[in-house]
Amino acid sequence: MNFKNILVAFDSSSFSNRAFKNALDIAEPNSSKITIVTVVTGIYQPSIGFSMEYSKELLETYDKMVKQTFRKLEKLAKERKIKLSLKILHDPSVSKAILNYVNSSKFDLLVVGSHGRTGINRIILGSVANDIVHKSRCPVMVVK
Amino acid sequence: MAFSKILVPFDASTYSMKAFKSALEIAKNQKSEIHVLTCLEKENLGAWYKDSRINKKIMTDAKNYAKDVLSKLEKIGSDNGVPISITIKETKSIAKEIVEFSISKKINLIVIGSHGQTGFNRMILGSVSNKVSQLAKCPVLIVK
Repeated sequence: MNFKNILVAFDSSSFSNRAFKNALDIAEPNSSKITIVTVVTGIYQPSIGFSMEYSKELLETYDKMVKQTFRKLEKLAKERKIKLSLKILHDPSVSKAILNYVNSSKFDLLVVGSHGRTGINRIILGSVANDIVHKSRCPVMVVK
Repeated sequence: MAFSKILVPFDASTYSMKAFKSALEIAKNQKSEIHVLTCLEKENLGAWYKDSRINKKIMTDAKNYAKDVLSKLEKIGSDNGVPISITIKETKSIAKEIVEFSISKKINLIVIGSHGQTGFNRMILGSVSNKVSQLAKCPVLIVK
């Protein structure tokens, strides 16, 4: 098994930054490709939960922000001569979107941080990481 | 390099063999050493008997069998030029033992199969790998 095609679930939290760095370490000797996936959930409305419909302008600004942070990551990857690409998903559910994307395309490895934006407890896994670890069909690396 | 010490918990199941193979792949690239840990569960063996001598006999048999299987792994490792160290431990809780071992040996990465000896459901994670992924202090790679 060789990890040629690596996917990193990224939400610019410190854990996902660490996940990205670990992915770079694995990718470097294999000269593998890294894809960064980010899920934009839209805005939260108490009556209906997360929705994509009413927030087109917001989504665009979110996408812009994501692309900005992506440029920073791209710099880091270029220093080590690793190909990097970005995929932005629009979905109210983060874990479902990532799982659909992983299971529908061919990746050899998925790297996630153990917690994301809402991480509180260092002992137990975050909800998204937990869901991904359970349901993804490719190997998952959980970075702490 | 980032992953200089890799731990592979091994129970001779197909999943753990897969895990060992991908650990070998990473170790070759990163020039790291692999620790293989086999845990023999105390409670499971002859729990019906109160006679501790019977327990002991089962345990030594299990140990001998484990040594046999693990020596094969050692051979694979030396063929690929990866240093492999082997540990067999008797324990009451396998997951806890794995986590404690990883802390005491300062392991950088745990590579574990998604299921072990009792695995039957492909969708859900095995109990040991679930616990390890939640409790471990270092990155965990779960091989499916």
